[in-house]
Amino acid sequence: MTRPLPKPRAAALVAALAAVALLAPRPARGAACCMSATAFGTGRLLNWEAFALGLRTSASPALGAWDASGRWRPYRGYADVEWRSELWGMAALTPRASAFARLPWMLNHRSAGPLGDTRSGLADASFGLRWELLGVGEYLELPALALTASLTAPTGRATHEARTPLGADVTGRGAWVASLGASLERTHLPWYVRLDLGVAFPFPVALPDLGGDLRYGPELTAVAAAGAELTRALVLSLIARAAWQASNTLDGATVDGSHRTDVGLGLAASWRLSPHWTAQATVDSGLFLDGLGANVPGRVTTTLGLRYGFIP
Amino acid sequence: MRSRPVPLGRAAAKTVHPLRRRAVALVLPLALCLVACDASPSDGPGAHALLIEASFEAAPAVGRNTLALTVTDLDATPVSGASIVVSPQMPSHGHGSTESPTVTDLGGGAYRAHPVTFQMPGPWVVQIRATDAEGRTGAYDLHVEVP
Repeated sequence: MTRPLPKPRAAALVAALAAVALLAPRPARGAACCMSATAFGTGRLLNWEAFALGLRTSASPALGAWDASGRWRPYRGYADVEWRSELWGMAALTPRASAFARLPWMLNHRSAGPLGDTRSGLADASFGLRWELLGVGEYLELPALALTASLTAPTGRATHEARTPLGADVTGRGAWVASLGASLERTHLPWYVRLDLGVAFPFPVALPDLGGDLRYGPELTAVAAAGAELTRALVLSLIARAAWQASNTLDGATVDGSHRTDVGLGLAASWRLSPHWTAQATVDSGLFLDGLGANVPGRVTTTLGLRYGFIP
Repeated sequence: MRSRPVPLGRAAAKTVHPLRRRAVALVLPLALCLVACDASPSDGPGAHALLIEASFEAAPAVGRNTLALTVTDLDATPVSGASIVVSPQMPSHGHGSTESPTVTDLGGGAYRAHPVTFQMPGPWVVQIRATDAEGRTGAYDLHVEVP
């Protein structure tokens, strides 16, 4: 029979893990045209929680972009800054199953020469289900394992619907995306490691600006995190992420040079303010060197979040 | 009104139409691309009866640009009154431009397209399609690396 972890430390660590999981960095979100559809959800509920709500806000200036061959090109005379606020929620359906939803709002600033615009709007919302196949600490010898399935809806404004010359009002890709994910966690107090794997499948979308039906390529994403509980209320983590998207197809024909690669590193911290409240902070950055990206902008993203878990 | 653009599909081959070499000798007195520009007809010789030349009035940059066009037939006779559709696209990112250029007939086979809007840096393809009153067509894909 497995020996359960001591409950107070387990509770603190689980809370921290959940918080870090919540802020697992998504692939850098450049211009909305380049946004990836994350396969990951919103983290998970703690053992005693029935619901959790949260709000996180990030600021993400782009410093340049990689071209299709992986060459890094810093921006000159062009500014692209994204602010993203996301309201999210989770609800327990059964002891192992939970549902989650995310409602993001974006504010974009873009400028080049005499042109400049700052616009905001609803981005692409998502919802999904999470199944705890193996709970945290359920088996001493095995890592925790959870599976997720989610759907992202094109609730944002796509490029072909833009009303500003630099596309500052673009907040979405215009395509439905189905995603599957798996999350592995292993704890050895005060340390933990975690691996999130995901795959996203965009559905075809008719794009009048390209004159055909475009299908973004499927995307694979991996996020690895490792950290330690410094105090009962504070956990620090290092995060590494990588995403790769296959080439797009237009009316069934592969669009050469449209694949994407994005890697980055981050540092995350979570503070357990009270049994119900957790504060989170993350800094994530692309690696601005040749070969460490393709067809994506390179950003430094700072995120602050607040989480509230409860039982009604 | 902007016509529906023709799908690019695969990236346009970067071969140079043989007739274009002759046309290149007749350099227009306009500022040419200062960054990497590569132009190509989207079909081989004989597929179209109109030839299109295109160059930016200033070095292409993020934002609004102006494109100078000339349309001639295979005998190098200028063609006026053609219907021209200019469609900037960024196929590597899966989107087009935020604005549709208006093409103005300047007479003598010369046209002007504005605004040709690139909303971000990177590789763009300006797809140009022309049809004259006699139903003859021309096609030209201008590859632009916007800094």
